[in-house]
Amino acid sequence: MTRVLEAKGEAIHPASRLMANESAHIEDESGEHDLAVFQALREMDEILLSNFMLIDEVIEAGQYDLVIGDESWEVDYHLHENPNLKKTSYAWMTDFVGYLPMPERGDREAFVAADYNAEMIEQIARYKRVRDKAIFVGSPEDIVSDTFGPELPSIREWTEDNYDFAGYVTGFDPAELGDRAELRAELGYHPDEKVCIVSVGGSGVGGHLIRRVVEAYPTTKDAVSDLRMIVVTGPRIDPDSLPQVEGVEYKSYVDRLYRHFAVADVAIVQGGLTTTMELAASKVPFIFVPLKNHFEQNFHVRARLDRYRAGRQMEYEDVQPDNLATVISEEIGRDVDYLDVETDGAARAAAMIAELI
Amino acid sequence: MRARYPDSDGYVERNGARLYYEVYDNEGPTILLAPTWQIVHSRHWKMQIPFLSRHFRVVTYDPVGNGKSDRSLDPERYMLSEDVKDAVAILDETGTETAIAVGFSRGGGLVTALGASHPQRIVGLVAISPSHALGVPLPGRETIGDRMFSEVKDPEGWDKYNLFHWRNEWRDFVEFFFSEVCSDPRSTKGWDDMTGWAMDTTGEVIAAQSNAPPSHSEEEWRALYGSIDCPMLIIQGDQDRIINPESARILAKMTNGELVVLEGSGHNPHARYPVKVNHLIKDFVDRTHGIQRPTPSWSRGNNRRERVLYISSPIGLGHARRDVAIADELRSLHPDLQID
Repeated sequence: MTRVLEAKGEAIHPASRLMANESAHIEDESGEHDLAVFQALREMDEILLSNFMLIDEVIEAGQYDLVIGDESWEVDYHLHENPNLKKTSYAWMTDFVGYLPMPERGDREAFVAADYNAEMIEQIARYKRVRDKAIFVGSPEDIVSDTFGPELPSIREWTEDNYDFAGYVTGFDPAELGDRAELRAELGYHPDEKVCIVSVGGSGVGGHLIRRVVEAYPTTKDAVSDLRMIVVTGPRIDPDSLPQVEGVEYKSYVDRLYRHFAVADVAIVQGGLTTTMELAASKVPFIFVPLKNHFEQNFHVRARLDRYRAGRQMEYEDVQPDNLATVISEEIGRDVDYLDVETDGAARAAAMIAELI
Repeated sequence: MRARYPDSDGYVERNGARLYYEVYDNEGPTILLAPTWQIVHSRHWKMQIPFLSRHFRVVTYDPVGNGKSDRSLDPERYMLSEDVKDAVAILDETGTETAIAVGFSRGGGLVTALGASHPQRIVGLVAISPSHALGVPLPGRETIGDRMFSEVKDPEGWDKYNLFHWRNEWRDFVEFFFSEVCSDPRSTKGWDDMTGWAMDTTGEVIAAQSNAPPSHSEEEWRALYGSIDCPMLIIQGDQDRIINPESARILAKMTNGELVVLEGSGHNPHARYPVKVNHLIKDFVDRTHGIQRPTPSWSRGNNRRERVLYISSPIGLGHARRDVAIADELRSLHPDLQID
């Protein structure tokens, strides 16, 4: 996170290093390609509180005009609980609304998720003054068709009533990447090879998926003889800890990975929104494997990708050598008919926020 | 994962039981976060420790009977006088000359007794929803103390507060009891946490604790409470279903303490409304120790550069790229904008 921001010349507030580590917590809560993320967020309550109390002191000292919280759950929740601590204008952003229970996790999770949603709905209704702007990173059509829970509103209708919509924000414009063949050559890919990029995001949760894909490499190579596989491990997985298979290249960090995605012939990723939408924007065929029990990846991201007609979902259990080889050979280099992803989302969001300064 | 881990931890052995303690280092006064009823352990301070330890030194420990401390089935080991000696042993072991002691529920009674009996060590007291020797029961709960020692068949409600039921159906009692503790709306997480910690001990242990002989007479308690001359803060929710809020008023009056009533709050505000309680504790410690926080420099309104704090969720790589794109667009609309 800070690496991307610093590379862009952004000023990182010194208090950031005092914040309790949410990423490490999430990894700690994960199993084999399995992350019950709603429960993980609940277990993070002390981390969120600790970070809120720190941020509150930073805001107190900083004479800020505005706080922008991009899914800053700690700020949003505790400001609604303590509305008199609000000291600046406040803009809230998110790309999903509503905790959705995973059916496998039973009645208790269904009850608790509805209880959290009801609390959020009550907070917004009572303290409209806390969020000066609530921005949904996306469009109404991206929103799931579910309700917040029994006897609670439809998520889409409620969100339309309580949010402004910026459209999706990828942070790059595929048109500005230039000629595909030139970019491909610049990034070191040959015209006569089929490039498959495997990426599991920045957390350490994806190690198991990488292992499964690498295990399938020899079978896939039999099916796609000109295959070249590049695995991006992210900063939290050590490439040396992974199986060394001839033909599989590991990279721990790739600068501006979206440019590599843009020229790939196929990609294999988890079900996270940022990565899948980068691929959707670049109109690259891709296979996504949502983390089990991760409601955001399984429901919210899925709903959005369906609308863009982007990606092919595989369940983790199905990621076996023969299956994966078949799917890759069907997907690789395929023409896709994805909807265009907006390129003006950042400008629209900024225009909404700018009114508050 | 925790938000903060102790800088050191260890055990102290006293009167046949080992007690586990944690120390969170910092400059400044020490806050002793004391145990409450053995039904939970020191993790019930999880919403206080990260914040308080950024400002003060914090010491906490598990009571005999739960957490990483030993379990005892000897009722005498659970006498309040023993609890006080345990607290002093922790202060000694951690090299804590003086402390402000903070207690919750039964721990409120403990710290009051500790402060009264060791005025040279305890320089301030905070009692949250305190249960104490001179308190009054909630209406309808007057005879519960008499009935808890005889068997009740298929008990319902507060009749589950019963030694036989604890021994036979510990989980059932725990779930009932914490529904009463966490009676505030939207308290599922507090309930999950507390029932989990309660299952770290057993009904046998809690039955032994409840059989502890009284350590003082009512007259002795009156004298002890009246002798307290250190500052005291009492925090009490007016919707408490465990402790009669009137008990907090009695304690405040007897100790000349300051009472803060939290309207609409149930029994455990430090878990359910931690921001408020944390600020109350910190302000109390600052006042008690005469701590002057430096006043930051100030700019007159028209002299300020436009300034934004941009908080980007750090889970995974999160939304760094989209946040940078939005920040760039914002700067094009407000060229002088400072974004942190």
